Order: sequence, then structure tokens, then C-alpha cells
Amino acid sequence: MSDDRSFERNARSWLELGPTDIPARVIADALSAIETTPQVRDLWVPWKDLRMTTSLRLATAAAIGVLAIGGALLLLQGPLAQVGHPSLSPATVSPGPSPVSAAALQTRWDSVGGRPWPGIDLGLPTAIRITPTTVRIPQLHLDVDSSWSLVDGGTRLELNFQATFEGLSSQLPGQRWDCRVGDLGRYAFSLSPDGGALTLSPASDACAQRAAILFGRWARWPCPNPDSVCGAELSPGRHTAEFLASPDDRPSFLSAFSYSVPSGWSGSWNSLGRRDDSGRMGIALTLDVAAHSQAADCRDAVEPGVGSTARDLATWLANLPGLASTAPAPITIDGYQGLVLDLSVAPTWTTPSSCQFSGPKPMLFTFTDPVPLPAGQGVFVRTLIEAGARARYVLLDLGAGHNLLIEVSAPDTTAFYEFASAAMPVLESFQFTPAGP
Amino acid sequence: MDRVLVEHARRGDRDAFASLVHQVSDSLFAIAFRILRDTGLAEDAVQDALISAWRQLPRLRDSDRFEAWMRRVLVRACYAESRRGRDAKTNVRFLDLLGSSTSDGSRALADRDEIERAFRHLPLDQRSVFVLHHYIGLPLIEVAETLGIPAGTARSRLHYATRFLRSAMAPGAVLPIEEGRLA
Repeated sequence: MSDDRSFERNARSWLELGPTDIPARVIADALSAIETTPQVRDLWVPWKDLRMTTSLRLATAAAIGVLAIGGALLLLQGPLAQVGHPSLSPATVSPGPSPVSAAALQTRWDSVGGRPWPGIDLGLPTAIRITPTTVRIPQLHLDVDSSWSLVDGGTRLELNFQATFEGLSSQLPGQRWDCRVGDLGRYAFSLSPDGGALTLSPASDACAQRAAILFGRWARWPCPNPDSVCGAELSPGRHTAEFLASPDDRPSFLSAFSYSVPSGWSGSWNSLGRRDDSGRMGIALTLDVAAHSQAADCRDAVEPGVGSTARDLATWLANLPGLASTAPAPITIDGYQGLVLDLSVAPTWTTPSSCQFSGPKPMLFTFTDPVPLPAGQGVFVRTLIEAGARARYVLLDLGAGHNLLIEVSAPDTTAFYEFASAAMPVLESFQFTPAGP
Repeated sequence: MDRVLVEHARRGDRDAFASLVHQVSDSLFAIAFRILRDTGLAEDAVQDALISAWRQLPRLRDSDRFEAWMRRVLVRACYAESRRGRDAKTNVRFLDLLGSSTSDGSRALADRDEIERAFRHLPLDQRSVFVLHHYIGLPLIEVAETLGIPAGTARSRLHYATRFLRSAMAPGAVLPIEEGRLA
């Protein structure tokens, strides 16, 4: 190997040697684990664009089941914290030279730098959520809770290991916690003067994995609401977004839409929301929807006999026994005519036990793809309404057999009316750009 | 990489993520193997990387950077695997191809074997830079971006890796014979 060029040539040809095709079982195992692995979600995700296979539905149902027993998937769906308000926590602060309010700790904190996950030190950033009663650590396959209180005159944090949700964990080696319920840990902590940075230093912890994760600096969630979307803020004024195309490259009737927002709004593709709202509030636009089958197994299919005009769809919705609906009312946006109606799950409705997607709350599918995606691709559009939540559906006729659904949704009635009053001016500002020939 | 697919996956679409996995997994495996020099460790690293990528995907702000981000996650998974793999001895012994033949073919084989042995002595951070630069063909600035390190650090890691490999392959250089999984 006489010179740089020959060295590089040899090095490259040596690197070319070796396997390049991953065994199929490795992918299968990873995808299988992913089926039961929740994402760490910072942004609002509309239900409607999730393409779900049967197995995914089952996995999601399992995740919802876990929520029912104590709450995985915390970052989006945990209770609103009372940041800045008197705490209801059993944690109390004893008088001391530098008292720290228990409430000052209660928010979401993002790690400064990476944090290890049990068994696999990927060193990726993570987040913890301190509620009035728990410190929650979201992990690869599970979320982990510890109850907490302030001790030693309010100078230390005491954590009591509560539970892991093994139902969501995979059998991959090295990714399990080996801590036990009741494992105690004591942490010295300090808050920066502005309350924006938290530093945790374990004095002792029977749960070493917890200590490895919590040790170090944490940055306060930048929005007041720790469960908020907190997306990139849109400047007040007019913006343009492109429509999210369906995965089978079906020609899209509209290519983009523009809208005007006041301050505090954020947007991602064809979804809009307010930066500080919880993850279940927002506006979502979907092109070309069809009535979802009401078959008892909740299969993804078009309900037979329902047309595709705004009137066809609104009439069908208004007469579904599982929905409570206002009467469809006419609306015009950017010259396109349609109907608007408010919907919620009827109090008497129960999800059929044969439904493959059954969670703790009754729910009902409303729309799906008018044309099935190729086999194996699941569905592109699925909208649903869950008991307790409320949605306003605006259905517009675009012409040439195309329709547009604009969905304004909120997790409860009170939030809905407040959000809808803010959202309607945004809807009324919509202007749509048809796709080119 | 299909940006729409990434966006769908980022928003929780497992089918979209599965499509991405099928697109990138061979490449990830090839990289992992070349860094770790062990098929089993490479498989585990890819598996962990895919799961952690799924988990963290909503935090990927720029869908166009998916592939680079995925490589970064993979390299971190390789680091973790190498630490885990240290204790797993497999008693692999490599054939000594250094012989008396001076034909071009034999010389090339011998050179490759020398590189193999020497490479296994490199620290993982240097291996990663070397593989991303020479195997994937990334410019150093992109290697740095992929690994989340300053460009100067990437340059120095490549420099040290190259210098070590060249010196290890110089006539008379002696390297310990490896027995087991080195990472």
C-alpha cells in the first residue's frame, strides 16, 4: 500500500465486502416491537390521517387499555397541570432558606442533552412530566411513574417507584427496568432563578436506571401548558400550506390552501391548532372522504349507499344512531358551498364488542377513503369521534365529485365551544388552490 | 426518501414507518456491520435503532433529514451494542492471509485482511466517521452533521483512523490477534 490513493482504494474495496442485506426476521422483529411502542409525541396528531392496519388497531386498543389502568402515552393525554396555581399535591414545602414551591416543578421538562434508556444507551433527548403526584418517565416501550414529595425541608425530592407497564414492553433484551415498586430515591435539586432549568442530582436511589435518566439538567417546556401542542408558532397573518397527498399518489384535487391566523397558532401540513392547546384540539382538513362502514367489526370500508356530496354525507351523519348531531346548516367558504354540523357520541351509544378497535371510551368511525389503498397499505383517512369529545364537521362540495372535510375538534364540550369560536374565523379565511392539470 | 411517507410516520402511521424501514434497513445494516464488524451486533443495533427512531420520530422537525437522522440514531445504537457486545465472546479467529505470495490478487487480499485487523482496533467514533466517509461516500461536513459533531472533530477522527490504519499496515507493524467480538 504505497500511497494515499491505493490505501483509499483498498479501504473502499474492503468496505464493500460483507453483508448488505438485512435478514427479514430482524425487520419483522423490529416492526413487531413497534406495533406496541408508543411514540414520544410533542405535536398534536389528528386521528384522521392515521392509517391503521388491523394489527395496529389491536395494538392501539391495547395502548388505550393501558391508559385506562393508569396512563401511558402521557405527554399528550395526561391531565392538565396547574402550573403557577396552588398545588393540590400532598408534597409540602417546609420553611427553609431557599424554599421551592412544589408547583414550580410541575410541568414537562425536556432533557438537556441525551439520556440513557435502560439497557441501551442511545443518549437521545427525552422528557419527564412532573404532575402534582408523579414524576413520569416515558421510555422506549413503557412509561414509568414514581410518586414524589419534597423532603429535608424542601431541599430534596423523594421518589417512590410505582409501576411499569410491562404490557407494552417487548421481549428485546436490555430494555426492561429491573426496579421494584417502592424503590426510593432522594435527589438534590435546584431551579434556575427564572425557573426555566431544573438540575437533579441523585443522593441515593435504589433504582439505578431511574437515577441514570434523571441525573442532570432539564429545560422547562416552553409553553405554559405542559400537555400543549407547543408547535412552531405561526406569525399572525396569512400562510399557505400544501395538502398532504395520499400514500398511493392519487391525484389530489387541491394542491394547497391559505389561511389567516392571529397570534398563538401553529400548523403542520393540513392541520392547524393553537400552540398552547392540548393535543386533542385542532382543525384538520381532509380531501375526499367517504362514509365509514358501520359494520359491527368496525372494518375499514365505505358504507354502502351513501353518496359523496356534502348533503349526502351530512344527512347520513345526522341520522347515525350513534351520534348526537345538530341539524346540518349551509355554509360557504371561498365560494365553495357545503354544510356544517356539530357532532358528539350519543350518550346511549356503546361500541360493539365485536369492534376490533375498542378502548375504554365508546367511539364511532365517521369517514374513510372513498377508494381503498393498495392491499397492505391500511387506510389513509379514518375519522372518529370519541365519547366526551365534540367535533364540528364542515363538508364542502368542490365539484367534479370531490368533497372536503374540515374538522374542528376538542376533547370536551367546554373546550369545544371556546375553540370553535376561535377557529371559525380561521376557517372563513380559507382559500383553496386547485391542483394543476 | 419519500418526504410524505416520513411525515405520515412522524404523525404515528406505522404502515408508513414500515415502508421507510424497508427502504433504509439494508443500508443501515450495511453501515452497522461495517462499524461493528459483527453480524449479530449489527442486527441488534439496527433493531434498536429502528425502535428508537419510531419512538423519537415525532421530534424530527425536518422530514427531509430523515435519512441522516436515522443514521445518527443507528450510530448511537452501534455504540450501545458495542458496549453490550464486549462481554459476548464468540471465539472468532480470522485467517491469516498474509503469505509469501506477491501476486496482485493475493496482495489485495492480504491488504484487506490487514485492514480488517487494524480496523477492529479503532475506537468506534473513528470507525463511524471512516465508514460514513469511505463507504457511504458522505463528505466530511455531512458526516459531522450526521453524527452531530463539529466538522473539525470529524476531520480529526478520520485523520487518526487513516493514520492508524496506514501505520498498522506498514511492513513490520504488529497488531494483537483478536479472539472474540471486538467493538
